[in-house]
Amino acid sequence: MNCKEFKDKVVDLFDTTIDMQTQAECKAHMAECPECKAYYEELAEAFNALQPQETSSQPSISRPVCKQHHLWRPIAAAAVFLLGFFIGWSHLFSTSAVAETPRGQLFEQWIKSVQNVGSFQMAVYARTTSNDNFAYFDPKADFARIDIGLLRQNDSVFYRVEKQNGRVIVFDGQNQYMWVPNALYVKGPRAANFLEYFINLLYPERLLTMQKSAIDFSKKNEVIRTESDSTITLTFKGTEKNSDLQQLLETGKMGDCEVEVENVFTKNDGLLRFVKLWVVNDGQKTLLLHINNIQYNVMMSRVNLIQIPDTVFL
Amino acid sequence: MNTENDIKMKELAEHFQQEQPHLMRYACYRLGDTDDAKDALQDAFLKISSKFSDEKSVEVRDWRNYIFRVLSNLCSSRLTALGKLRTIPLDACLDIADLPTENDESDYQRIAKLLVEIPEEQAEVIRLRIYGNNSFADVAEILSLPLPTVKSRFLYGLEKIRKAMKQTNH
Repeated sequence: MNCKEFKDKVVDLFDTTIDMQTQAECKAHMAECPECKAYYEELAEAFNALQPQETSSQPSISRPVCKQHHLWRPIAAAAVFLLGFFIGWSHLFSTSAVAETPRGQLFEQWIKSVQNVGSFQMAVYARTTSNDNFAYFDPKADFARIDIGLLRQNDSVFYRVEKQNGRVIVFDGQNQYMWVPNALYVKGPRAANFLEYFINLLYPERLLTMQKSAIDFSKKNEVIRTESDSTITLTFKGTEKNSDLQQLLETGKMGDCEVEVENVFTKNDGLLRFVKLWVVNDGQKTLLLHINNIQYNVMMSRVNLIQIPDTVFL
Repeated sequence: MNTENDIKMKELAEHFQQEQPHLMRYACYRLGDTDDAKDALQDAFLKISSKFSDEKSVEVRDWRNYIFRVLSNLCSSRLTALGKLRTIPLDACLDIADLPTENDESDYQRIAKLLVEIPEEQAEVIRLRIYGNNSFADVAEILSLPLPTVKSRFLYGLEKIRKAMKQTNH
Protein backbone atom coordinates (compact mmCIF):
# COMPACT_ATOMS: atom_id res chain seq x y z
CA MET A 1 0.00 0.00 0.00
CA ASN A 2 1.40 3.42 -0.91
CA CYS A 3 0.55 6.75 0.71
CA LYS A 4 -2.13 7.63 -1.83
CA GLU A 5 -3.86 4.29 -1.32
CA PHE A 6 -3.62 4.79 2.43
CA LYS A 7 -5.25 8.22 2.22
CA ASP A 8 -8.02 6.71 0.08
CA LYS A 9 -8.65 3.92 2.56
CA VAL A 10 -8.07 5.61 5.93
CA VAL A 11 -11.64 6.90 6.13
CA ASP A 12 -12.84 3.26 6.21
CA LEU A 13 -11.20 2.91 9.61
CA PHE A 14 -13.88 5.23 10.97
CA ASP A 15 -16.84 3.25 9.70
CA THR A 16 -19.15 1.29 11.98
CA THR A 17 -17.56 -1.94 10.83
CA ILE A 18 -13.94 -2.22 9.75
CA ASP A 19 -12.76 -4.63 7.14
CA MET A 20 -9.97 -6.69 8.65
CA GLN A 21 -7.89 -6.65 5.48
CA THR A 22 -8.13 -2.88 5.12
CA GLN A 23 -7.19 -2.48 8.75
CA ALA A 24 -4.21 -4.80 8.41
CA GLU A 25 -2.98 -3.02 5.27
CA CYS A 26 -3.34 0.42 6.81
CA LYS A 27 -1.60 -0.72 9.96
CA ALA A 28 1.28 -2.18 7.98
CA HIS A 29 1.65 1.05 6.01
CA MET A 30 1.60 3.19 9.16
CA ALA A 31 4.36 1.06 10.62
CA GLU A 32 6.54 2.15 7.71
CA CYS A 33 5.33 5.70 7.12
CA PRO A 34 5.45 8.13 10.06
CA GLU A 35 3.68 10.83 8.07
CA CYS A 36 0.65 8.69 7.33
CA LYS A 37 0.63 7.47 10.91
CA ALA A 38 0.61 11.07 12.15
CA TYR A 39 -2.16 11.90 9.69
CA TYR A 40 -4.29 9.03 10.96
CA GLU A 41 -3.63 9.97 14.59
CA GLU A 42 -4.78 13.52 13.94
CA LEU A 43 -7.99 12.25 12.38
CA ALA A 44 -8.51 9.87 15.31
CA GLU A 45 -8.01 12.74 17.73
CA ALA A 46 -10.70 14.78 15.99
CA PHE A 47 -12.98 11.73 15.86
CA ASN A 48 -12.50 11.07 19.56
CA ALA A 49 -13.12 14.74 20.38
CA LEU A 50 -16.51 14.45 18.71
CA GLN A 51 -17.56 11.50 20.86
CA PRO A 52 -20.10 12.32 23.54
CA GLN A 53 -18.76 11.98 27.04
CA GLU A 54 -20.74 11.26 30.19
CA THR A 55 -20.77 14.13 32.58
CA SER A 56 -22.57 14.80 35.80
CA SER A 57 -22.77 18.58 35.34
CA GLN A 58 -25.83 20.22 33.85
CA PRO A 59 -25.17 22.03 30.60
CA SER A 60 -25.28 25.81 30.84
CA ILE A 61 -27.33 26.67 27.80
CA SER A 62 -30.51 28.67 27.76
CA ARG A 63 -32.86 25.76 27.21
CA PRO A 64 -32.56 22.60 29.25
CA VAL A 65 -31.25 19.47 27.63
CA CYS A 66 -31.67 15.94 28.81
CA LYS A 67 -29.23 14.68 31.40
CA GLN A 68 -25.98 13.67 29.80
CA HIS A 69 -25.74 10.30 31.47
CA HIS A 70 -29.13 9.27 30.11
CA LEU A 71 -28.62 10.57 26.65
CA TRP A 72 -25.12 9.57 25.81
CA ARG A 73 -24.76 6.12 27.30
CA PRO A 74 -25.42 3.47 24.67
CA ILE A 75 -28.85 2.18 25.62
CA ALA A 76 -30.39 -0.96 24.26
CA ALA A 77 -33.84 -0.55 22.79
CA ALA A 78 -35.19 -3.34 24.92
CA ALA A 79 -34.36 -3.63 28.52
CA VAL A 80 -33.48 -7.04 29.51
CA PHE A 81 -31.73 -9.82 30.19
CA LEU A 82 -31.73 -13.05 28.97
CA LEU A 83 -29.94 -15.67 30.74
CA GLY A 84 -32.20 -17.15 33.33
CA PHE A 85 -34.26 -19.21 30.97
CA PHE A 86 -31.39 -21.31 29.71
CA ILE A 87 -29.13 -23.58 31.65
CA GLY A 88 -28.73 -21.82 34.94
CA TRP A 89 -25.81 -19.64 35.87
CA SER A 90 -24.70 -22.24 38.39
CA HIS A 91 -24.17 -24.70 35.58
CA LEU A 92 -22.31 -22.28 33.35
CA PHE A 93 -20.23 -20.84 36.11
CA SER A 94 -18.97 -23.78 38.03
CA THR A 95 -16.34 -21.44 39.32
CA SER A 96 -18.90 -19.24 41.07
CA ALA A 97 -17.03 -19.61 44.34
CA VAL A 98 -13.81 -18.27 42.79
CA ALA A 99 -12.81 -14.77 43.78
CA GLU A 100 -12.39 -12.11 41.11
CA THR A 101 -8.83 -11.18 40.22
CA PRO A 102 -7.29 -8.04 38.73
CA ARG A 103 -6.40 -10.04 35.61
CA GLY A 104 -10.00 -11.15 35.23
CA GLN A 105 -11.11 -7.55 35.63
CA LEU A 106 -9.53 -6.83 32.22
CA PHE A 107 -12.64 -8.40 30.72
CA GLU A 108 -15.09 -6.51 32.87
CA GLN A 109 -15.58 -3.32 30.83
CA TRP A 110 -15.94 -5.25 27.60
CA ILE A 111 -18.54 -7.54 29.12
CA LYS A 112 -20.54 -4.50 30.19
CA SER A 113 -20.26 -2.96 26.71
CA VAL A 114 -21.85 -5.89 24.94
CA GLN A 115 -24.44 -6.74 27.56
CA ASN A 116 -26.80 -3.89 26.74
CA VAL A 117 -27.04 -4.21 22.97
CA GLY A 118 -30.52 -4.51 21.55
CA SER A 119 -29.56 -6.90 18.82
CA PHE A 120 -26.56 -8.45 17.12
CA GLN A 121 -25.73 -10.66 14.22
CA MET A 122 -22.58 -12.57 13.42
CA ALA A 123 -21.20 -15.29 11.19
CA VAL A 124 -19.28 -17.97 13.06
CA TYR A 125 -17.00 -20.25 11.08
CA ALA A 126 -16.43 -23.42 13.07
CA ARG A 127 -14.83 -26.77 12.34
CA THR A 128 -17.94 -28.87 12.51
CA THR A 129 -20.49 -30.40 10.19
CA SER A 130 -23.73 -28.92 8.90
CA ASN A 131 -26.12 -31.40 10.39
CA ASP A 132 -24.51 -32.36 13.67
CA ASN A 133 -25.55 -30.81 16.94
CA PHE A 134 -24.14 -27.41 17.75
CA ALA A 135 -21.85 -28.59 20.52
CA TYR A 136 -19.89 -30.80 18.11
CA PHE A 137 -16.45 -29.54 17.07
CA ASP A 138 -13.78 -31.44 15.24
CA PRO A 139 -10.32 -29.92 14.68
CA LYS A 140 -9.97 -32.11 11.59
CA ALA A 141 -13.25 -30.98 9.98
CA ASP A 142 -13.59 -28.19 7.44
CA PHE A 143 -15.13 -24.89 8.45
CA ALA A 144 -18.91 -24.63 8.41
CA ARG A 145 -20.65 -21.30 8.58
CA ILE A 146 -23.14 -20.65 11.38
CA ASP A 147 -25.26 -17.49 11.21
CA ILE A 148 -26.51 -16.11 14.49
CA GLY A 149 -29.05 -13.34 14.98
CA LEU A 150 -30.38 -12.22 18.36
CA LEU A 151 -32.95 -9.57 19.17
CA ARG A 152 -33.96 -8.21 22.57
CA GLN A 153 -37.38 -6.64 22.52
CA ASN A 154 -40.06 -5.90 25.09
CA ASP A 155 -38.39 -7.90 27.87
CA SER A 156 -37.98 -10.91 25.59
CA VAL A 157 -35.18 -12.44 23.61
CA PHE A 158 -35.52 -13.97 20.17
CA TYR A 159 -32.77 -15.73 18.30
CA ARG A 160 -31.88 -17.80 15.30
CA VAL A 161 -28.80 -20.02 15.02
CA GLU A 162 -28.43 -21.51 11.57
CA LYS A 163 -25.76 -23.77 10.12
CA GLN A 164 -25.47 -23.15 6.40
CA ASN A 165 -27.45 -25.87 4.60
CA GLY A 166 -27.96 -27.64 7.90
CA ARG A 167 -29.30 -27.58 11.43
CA VAL A 168 -31.28 -24.58 12.64
CA ILE A 169 -32.49 -23.53 16.07
CA VAL A 170 -35.02 -20.76 16.65
CA PHE A 171 -36.30 -19.34 19.91
CA ASP A 172 -39.46 -17.25 19.55
CA GLY A 173 -39.68 -15.99 23.09
CA GLN A 174 -41.79 -18.93 24.21
CA ASN A 175 -40.59 -22.14 22.56
CA GLN A 176 -37.48 -23.50 20.94
CA TYR A 177 -37.57 -25.15 17.53
CA MET A 178 -34.81 -27.25 16.03
CA TRP A 179 -34.72 -28.83 12.63
CA VAL A 180 -32.47 -30.48 10.11
CA PRO A 181 -34.08 -30.12 6.65
CA ASN A 182 -35.94 -33.25 5.59
CA ALA A 183 -34.68 -35.13 8.62
CA LEU A 184 -35.64 -33.82 12.01
CA TYR A 185 -38.16 -31.37 13.41
CA VAL A 186 -38.45 -30.94 17.15
CA LYS A 187 -40.03 -28.38 19.42
CA GLY A 188 -39.16 -27.76 23.03
CA PRO A 189 -40.05 -25.46 25.88
CA ARG A 190 -38.08 -22.40 26.88
CA ALA A 191 -35.70 -24.43 29.06
CA ALA A 192 -34.88 -27.04 26.42
CA ASN A 193 -31.15 -27.35 25.86
CA PHE A 194 -31.04 -27.63 22.08
CA LEU A 195 -27.93 -25.49 21.79
CA GLU A 196 -26.02 -27.39 24.47
CA TYR A 197 -22.66 -25.77 25.15
CA PHE A 198 -22.78 -23.77 21.99
CA ILE A 199 -24.89 -21.37 24.01
CA ASN A 200 -21.61 -20.02 25.37
CA LEU A 201 -20.86 -18.72 21.91
CA LEU A 202 -24.38 -17.41 21.32
CA TYR A 203 -23.94 -14.34 23.48
CA PRO A 204 -20.75 -12.29 23.21
CA GLU A 205 -20.92 -11.46 26.92
CA ARG A 206 -21.00 -15.14 27.81
CA LEU A 207 -17.93 -15.90 25.75
CA LEU A 208 -16.09 -13.09 27.52
CA THR A 209 -17.40 -14.05 30.94
CA MET A 210 -16.26 -17.64 30.47
CA GLN A 211 -12.76 -16.42 29.75
CA LYS A 212 -12.86 -14.11 32.74
CA SER A 213 -13.93 -17.06 34.90
CA ALA A 214 -11.03 -19.09 33.56
CA ILE A 215 -8.59 -16.31 34.44
CA ASP A 216 -10.04 -16.00 37.92
CA PHE A 217 -10.00 -19.78 38.28
CA SER A 218 -6.32 -20.35 37.75
CA LYS A 219 -3.12 -18.37 37.55
CA LYS A 220 -1.97 -20.80 34.89
CA ASN A 221 -4.50 -19.28 32.50
CA GLU A 222 -3.12 -16.11 30.94
CA VAL A 223 -4.53 -12.94 29.44
CA ILE A 224 -2.45 -10.59 27.30
CA ARG A 225 -3.62 -7.11 26.32
CA THR A 226 -2.36 -5.46 23.14
CA GLU A 227 -3.47 -2.28 21.48
CA SER A 228 -3.53 -0.69 18.05
CA ASP A 229 -4.79 2.75 17.04
CA SER A 230 -8.34 1.57 16.67
CA THR A 231 -8.56 -1.75 18.49
CA ILE A 232 -7.74 -3.48 21.73
CA THR A 233 -7.00 -7.21 21.72
CA LEU A 234 -7.31 -9.51 24.73
CA THR A 235 -5.69 -12.87 24.12
CA PHE A 236 -6.67 -15.63 26.51
CA LYS A 237 -4.38 -18.64 26.87
CA GLY A 238 -5.63 -21.61 28.83
CA THR A 239 -3.02 -23.93 30.16
CA GLU A 240 -4.73 -25.38 33.24
CA LYS A 241 -5.11 -29.10 32.86
CA ASN A 242 -8.61 -30.43 32.75
CA SER A 243 -9.91 -33.26 30.68
CA ASP A 244 -13.56 -32.34 30.82
CA LEU A 245 -14.73 -31.48 27.31
CA GLN A 246 -17.70 -29.60 28.70
CA GLN A 247 -15.55 -27.05 30.44
CA LEU A 248 -13.64 -25.99 27.36
CA LEU A 249 -13.73 -22.29 27.94
CA GLU A 250 -13.86 -22.24 31.73
CA THR A 251 -10.66 -24.11 32.23
CA GLY A 252 -8.90 -23.75 28.91
CA LYS A 253 -8.75 -27.41 28.22
CA MET A 254 -10.59 -29.73 25.86
CA GLY A 255 -9.43 -33.27 26.43
CA ASP A 256 -5.67 -33.07 26.06
CA CYS A 257 -5.86 -29.82 24.14
CA GLU A 258 -5.23 -26.34 25.43
CA VAL A 259 -7.24 -23.37 24.20
CA GLU A 260 -6.32 -19.89 23.04
CA VAL A 261 -8.86 -17.15 22.31
CA GLU A 262 -8.16 -13.83 20.64
CA ASN A 263 -10.82 -11.15 21.27
CA VAL A 264 -10.62 -7.91 19.27
CA PHE A 265 -12.59 -4.85 20.43
CA THR A 266 -13.01 -1.56 18.59
CA LYS A 267 -11.90 1.37 20.72
CA ASN A 268 -14.50 3.86 19.60
CA ASP A 269 -17.43 1.85 20.95
CA GLY A 270 -15.87 -0.81 23.17
CA LEU A 271 -17.64 -3.67 21.43
CA LEU A 272 -16.32 -7.13 20.66
CA ARG A 273 -15.91 -7.43 16.92
CA PHE A 274 -13.67 -10.39 16.03
CA VAL A 275 -12.92 -13.67 17.79
CA LYS A 276 -10.53 -16.48 16.99
CA LEU A 277 -10.35 -19.68 19.03
CA TRP A 278 -7.51 -22.16 18.65
CA VAL A 279 -6.92 -25.54 20.20
CA VAL A 280 -3.33 -26.51 20.86
CA ASN A 281 -2.52 -30.23 20.92
CA ASP A 282 0.97 -31.71 21.03
CA GLY A 283 2.43 -28.38 20.05
CA GLN A 284 0.16 -28.01 17.04
CA LYS A 285 -2.16 -25.03 16.98
CA THR A 286 -5.40 -25.41 15.03
CA LEU A 287 -7.94 -22.67 14.44
CA LEU A 288 -11.22 -24.18 15.65
CA LEU A 289 -13.53 -21.26 15.06
CA HIS A 290 -13.51 -17.61 14.14
CA ILE A 291 -16.13 -14.89 14.23
CA ASN A 292 -15.74 -11.99 11.82
CA ASN A 293 -17.24 -8.60 12.34
CA ILE A 294 -19.97 -8.94 14.93
CA GLN A 295 -22.58 -6.26 14.16
CA TYR A 296 -24.58 -4.71 16.96
CA ASN A 297 -27.93 -2.93 17.18
CA VAL A 298 -28.72 -3.96 13.64
CA MET A 299 -32.18 -3.57 12.25
CA MET A 300 -33.89 -6.90 12.39
CA SER A 301 -37.32 -8.16 11.57
CA ARG A 302 -38.53 -10.31 14.41
CA VAL A 303 -40.93 -12.03 12.03
CA ASN A 304 -38.10 -13.13 9.75
CA LEU A 305 -35.79 -13.99 12.64
CA ILE A 306 -38.17 -16.53 14.19
CA GLN A 307 -39.63 -17.93 11.00
CA ILE A 308 -39.91 -21.71 11.10
CA PRO A 309 -40.80 -24.23 8.39
CA ASP A 310 -44.43 -24.97 7.75
CA THR A 311 -44.36 -28.51 9.07
CA VAL A 312 -45.16 -30.58 12.13
CA PHE A 313 -42.71 -30.24 14.99
CA LEU A 314 -42.54 -33.23 17.32
CA MET B 1 -56.17 0.78 6.58
CA ASN B 2 -55.37 -2.52 4.89
CA THR B 3 -53.76 -5.50 6.64
CA GLU B 4 -50.44 -5.04 4.86
CA ASN B 5 -50.14 -1.51 6.19
CA ASP B 6 -51.19 -2.67 9.66
CA ILE B 7 -48.16 -4.94 9.64
CA LYS B 8 -45.97 -2.07 8.45
CA MET B 9 -47.30 0.15 11.23
CA LYS B 10 -46.30 -2.48 13.74
CA GLU B 11 -42.87 -2.77 12.16
CA LEU B 12 -42.54 1.00 12.22
CA ALA B 13 -43.28 1.09 15.95
CA GLU B 14 -40.79 -1.71 16.60
CA HIS B 15 -38.05 0.00 14.62
CA PHE B 16 -38.69 3.32 16.29
CA GLN B 17 -38.42 1.71 19.67
CA GLN B 18 -35.28 -0.14 18.74
CA GLU B 19 -33.54 2.88 17.24
CA GLN B 20 -34.82 5.48 19.65
CA PRO B 21 -31.49 6.06 21.46
CA HIS B 22 -29.62 6.80 18.23
CA LEU B 23 -32.46 8.79 16.73
CA MET B 24 -32.76 10.86 19.87
CA ARG B 25 -29.05 11.46 20.15
CA TYR B 26 -28.79 12.52 16.53
CA ALA B 27 -31.80 14.84 16.82
CA CYS B 28 -30.44 16.41 20.03
CA TYR B 29 -27.15 17.28 18.41
CA ARG B 30 -28.89 18.52 15.32
CA LEU B 31 -31.45 20.72 17.01
CA GLY B 32 -29.80 21.71 20.26
CA ASP B 33 -32.11 20.48 22.98
CA THR B 34 -34.29 17.57 23.97
CA ASP B 35 -37.67 19.24 23.68
CA ASP B 36 -37.12 19.99 20.03
CA ALA B 37 -35.56 16.56 19.52
CA LYS B 38 -38.56 14.79 21.08
CA ASP B 39 -40.93 16.85 18.95
CA ALA B 40 -38.95 15.99 15.85
CA LEU B 41 -39.03 12.27 16.66
CA GLN B 42 -42.74 12.42 17.23
CA ASP B 43 -43.26 14.33 13.99
CA ALA B 44 -41.20 11.76 12.11
CA PHE B 45 -43.29 8.93 13.51
CA LEU B 46 -46.54 10.69 12.70
CA LYS B 47 -45.39 11.60 9.21
CA ILE B 48 -44.46 8.02 8.36
CA SER B 49 -47.57 6.52 9.94
CA SER B 50 -49.77 9.03 8.07
CA LYS B 51 -48.17 7.87 4.87
CA PHE B 52 -49.26 4.32 5.64
CA SER B 53 -52.78 5.49 6.40
CA ASP B 54 -53.10 7.50 3.20
CA GLU B 55 -51.47 5.19 0.69
CA LYS B 56 -52.67 1.70 -0.20
CA SER B 57 -49.31 0.02 0.06
CA VAL B 58 -46.00 1.51 0.97
CA GLU B 59 -42.78 -0.37 0.32
CA VAL B 60 -39.93 0.27 2.74
CA ARG B 61 -36.66 -1.34 1.79
CA ASP B 62 -34.61 -0.27 4.78
CA TRP B 63 -36.54 0.89 7.81
CA ARG B 64 -33.66 2.39 9.72
CA ASN B 65 -32.40 4.50 6.88
CA TYR B 66 -35.91 5.58 5.95
CA ILE B 67 -36.64 6.79 9.48
CA PHE B 68 -33.31 8.62 9.67
CA ARG B 69 -33.99 10.28 6.31
CA VAL B 70 -37.38 11.52 7.41
CA LEU B 71 -35.94 12.73 10.72
CA SER B 72 -33.01 14.47 9.01
CA ASN B 73 -35.37 16.32 6.66
CA LEU B 74 -37.66 17.30 9.52
CA CYS B 75 -34.72 18.65 11.51
CA SER B 76 -33.64 20.73 8.49
CA SER B 77 -37.15 22.13 8.14
CA ARG B 78 -37.31 23.00 11.82
CA LEU B 79 -33.99 24.78 11.76
CA THR B 80 -34.92 26.70 8.62
CA ALA B 81 -38.27 27.69 10.11
CA LEU B 82 -36.60 28.90 13.29
CA GLY B 83 -34.06 30.87 11.27
CA LYS B 84 -31.14 28.93 12.75
CA LEU B 85 -28.26 27.97 10.55
CA ARG B 86 -26.17 26.77 13.45
CA THR B 87 -27.16 25.09 16.66
CA ILE B 88 -24.93 26.97 19.06
CA PRO B 89 -26.92 28.90 21.65
CA LEU B 90 -25.89 32.54 22.15
CA ASP B 91 -24.31 32.05 25.52
CA ALA B 92 -21.94 29.47 24.05
CA CYS B 93 -20.29 32.14 21.90
CA LEU B 94 -17.70 33.48 24.29
CA ASP B 95 -14.53 35.37 23.88
CA ILE B 96 -11.51 33.13 23.82
CA ALA B 97 -10.19 34.68 27.00
CA ASP B 98 -13.44 33.88 28.79
CA LEU B 99 -13.83 30.29 27.66
CA PRO B 100 -14.79 28.07 30.53
CA THR B 101 -12.49 25.22 31.43
CA GLU B 102 -13.15 21.91 29.82
CA ASN B 103 -14.59 20.56 33.03
CA ASP B 104 -17.23 23.28 33.18
CA GLU B 105 -18.26 23.23 29.53
CA SER B 106 -21.25 21.13 28.63
CA ASP B 107 -20.62 18.24 26.29
CA TYR B 108 -23.07 19.64 23.84
CA GLN B 109 -21.41 23.04 23.69
CA ARG B 110 -18.02 21.43 23.30
CA ILE B 111 -19.12 19.36 20.32
CA ALA B 112 -21.26 22.12 18.83
CA LYS B 113 -18.23 24.41 18.82
CA LEU B 114 -16.28 21.79 16.90
CA LEU B 115 -19.02 21.25 14.34
CA VAL B 116 -19.57 24.95 13.71
CA GLU B 117 -16.07 25.09 12.24
CA ILE B 118 -17.07 23.03 9.23
CA PRO B 119 -19.66 23.34 6.47
CA GLU B 120 -23.10 22.09 7.41
CA GLU B 121 -23.01 19.36 4.76
CA GLN B 122 -19.89 17.87 6.39
CA ALA B 123 -21.33 18.32 9.89
CA GLU B 124 -24.49 16.47 8.89
CA VAL B 125 -22.51 13.47 7.67
CA ILE B 126 -20.55 13.45 10.93
CA ARG B 127 -23.70 13.72 13.04
CA LEU B 128 -25.42 10.85 11.21
CA ARG B 129 -22.30 8.72 11.40
CA ILE B 130 -21.36 9.32 15.05
CA TYR B 131 -24.57 10.23 16.87
CA GLY B 132 -26.90 8.23 14.67
CA ASN B 133 -24.44 5.33 14.65
CA ASN B 134 -25.01 4.82 10.94
CA SER B 135 -22.46 3.26 8.64
CA PHE B 136 -21.16 5.34 5.75
CA ALA B 137 -23.31 3.29 3.41
CA ASP B 138 -26.39 4.05 5.52
CA VAL B 139 -25.54 7.74 5.61
CA ALA B 140 -25.27 7.70 1.83
CA GLU B 141 -28.71 6.20 1.56
CA ILE B 142 -30.23 8.55 4.14
CA LEU B 143 -28.88 11.63 2.40
CA SER B 144 -29.28 10.22 -1.12
CA LEU B 145 -25.61 10.79 -1.84
CA PRO B 146 -22.95 8.63 -3.46
CA LEU B 147 -20.86 6.70 -0.93
CA PRO B 148 -17.57 8.34 -2.00
CA THR B 149 -19.16 11.77 -1.42
CA VAL B 150 -20.17 10.80 2.10
CA LYS B 151 -16.69 9.51 2.88
CA SER B 152 -15.08 12.65 1.45
CA ARG B 153 -17.31 14.95 3.47
CA PHE B 154 -16.59 12.98 6.62
CA LEU B 155 -12.84 13.04 6.02
CA TYR B 156 -12.68 16.73 5.13
CA GLY B 157 -14.85 17.53 8.13
CA LEU B 158 -12.47 15.68 10.46
CA GLU B 159 -9.46 17.37 8.86
CA LYS B 160 -10.99 20.83 9.37
CA ILE B 161 -11.98 20.05 12.94
CA ARG B 162 -8.49 18.85 13.72
CA LYS B 163 -7.05 22.05 12.22
CA ALA B 164 -9.45 24.15 14.29
CA MET B 165 -8.49 22.22 17.44
CA LYS B 166 -4.82 22.89 16.75
CA GLN B 167 -5.48 26.62 16.32
CA THR B 168 -7.52 26.76 19.53
CA ASN B 169 -4.74 25.04 21.46
CA HIS B 170 -2.23 27.51 20.15
